[in-house]
Amino acid sequence: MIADGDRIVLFNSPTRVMKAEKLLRKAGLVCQLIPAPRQVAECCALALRFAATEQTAIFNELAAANLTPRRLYGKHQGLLSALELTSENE
Amino acid sequence: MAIYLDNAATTFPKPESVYHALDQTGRQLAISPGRGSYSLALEAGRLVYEVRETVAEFFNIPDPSRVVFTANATEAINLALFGLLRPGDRVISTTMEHNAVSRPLQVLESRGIEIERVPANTTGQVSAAAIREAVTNGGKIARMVVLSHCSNVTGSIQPIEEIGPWCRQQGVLFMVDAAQSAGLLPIDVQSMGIDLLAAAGHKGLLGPAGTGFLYLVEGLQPTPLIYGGTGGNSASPLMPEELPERLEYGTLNTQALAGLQAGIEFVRSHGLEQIRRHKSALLEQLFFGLSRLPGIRIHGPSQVQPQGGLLSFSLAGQDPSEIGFLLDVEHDICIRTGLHCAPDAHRSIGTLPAGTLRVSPGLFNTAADIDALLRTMDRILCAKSTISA
Ligand SMILES: Cc1ncc(COP(=O)(O)O)c(C=O)c1O
Repeated sequence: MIADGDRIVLFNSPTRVMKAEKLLRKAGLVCQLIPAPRQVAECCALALRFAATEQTAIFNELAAANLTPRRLYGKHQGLLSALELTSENE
Repeated sequence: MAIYLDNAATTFPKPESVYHALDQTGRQLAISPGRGSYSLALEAGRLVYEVRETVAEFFNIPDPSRVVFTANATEAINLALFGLLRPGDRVISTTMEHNAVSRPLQVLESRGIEIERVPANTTGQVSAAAIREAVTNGGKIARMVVLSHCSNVTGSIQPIEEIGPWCRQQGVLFMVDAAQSAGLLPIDVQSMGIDLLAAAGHKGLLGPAGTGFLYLVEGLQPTPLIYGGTGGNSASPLMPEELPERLEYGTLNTQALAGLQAGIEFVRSHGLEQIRRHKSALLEQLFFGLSRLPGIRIHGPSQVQPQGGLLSFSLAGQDPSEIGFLLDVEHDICIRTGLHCAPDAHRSIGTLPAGTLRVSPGLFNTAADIDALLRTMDRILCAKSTISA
């Protein structure tokens, strides 16, 4: 479901995830709605997955629509870890 | 075939596209949106979000997540009034309100909220100046003004475009019950300064029964009326802070919402102007036809004033309910008689306790329907005068 190099963001409401997905698709950015993995699902059952290389473009688009995610996670060497909520993470 | 002229209660029939959307969604996607994360559930979630966007665009609402779906206008009004008002608040309303507004206000009054009802004139009109005066009167500025845009008894249209922007300047919440006007009159929540808009989906917006919504301006955070599952935030013991989930408990009716979307799209493609022209033409035909009848009294604004999609009248010496009964039983014509759930409005226009006969044509009624009603009224009145002679 989540591969190395993927990022996922969580929002605080199912409606906001739907809004974010629609917005990003309209902007031509590739993302996918997935069930939030159980260890991070406390704020919403859905997550938006995208490639780390898209992060800057996606965060800029979301920020412009006032749709800041609640949390950001990245997968690295098979491990999902919380990342700081900025448009770029090394 | 019955001639249905009670579209102010709920519109019937609906456009074909609404039946189609109900059928297709019912068969293919009538599942719980915003709950599971399998593809079908996501599809349903996207559909519901699109309906939110459609509603938002139609009323110039900047953010679709501020649109809360409800079962009808009554639920939307209750969510807003009970969710926001607190003891000590002062609220300005009018004497033209439907029970959907006046009953919650009555209960709130017993809980320490001060309610002032600005009187309407005998045609059902409330002036913006009287509202302004009531807001600032009484030593303490009111917290909220709540009124119906268009009366379901007289069709009177209140000057919300004048009241709203003024309320915003004064920092007073402005709430509009648009049950009778949504889908008939232009409503722009931004330019009209509307903070809370409650509407039914099943009247002028042409959606199925079981639909309605409440719009809340950014920053308002009412206490929920009902508590339960909302899809997100499942681990929390509390309702989420975010809208719309905070106020949308339980499973949403995906199918009905798809119908609502088709209804709004129908309205949009025909245009409010054309819809209004069609209904006004039928009401004008009715007005002139009725004017010939002996003892007729037409209530509400005169024909030259703008009015909503209905006409209320009474006949001297006749019981409205009996006329309504004869129209129905003998001629299959459905019109509304009595108080139409708005006793205060009848008190304002002097039609208590009998109420009025109310005719509200829909988009699919024709001049022939109004002719049939007028002919039948003639026949009934003629027969009655022969019997009593
Ligand atoms: C002015 C007004 N407000 C509220 C309502 C209540 O609408 P609903 O039946 O959708 O709850 C109505 C409908 O009859 C109405 O005419």
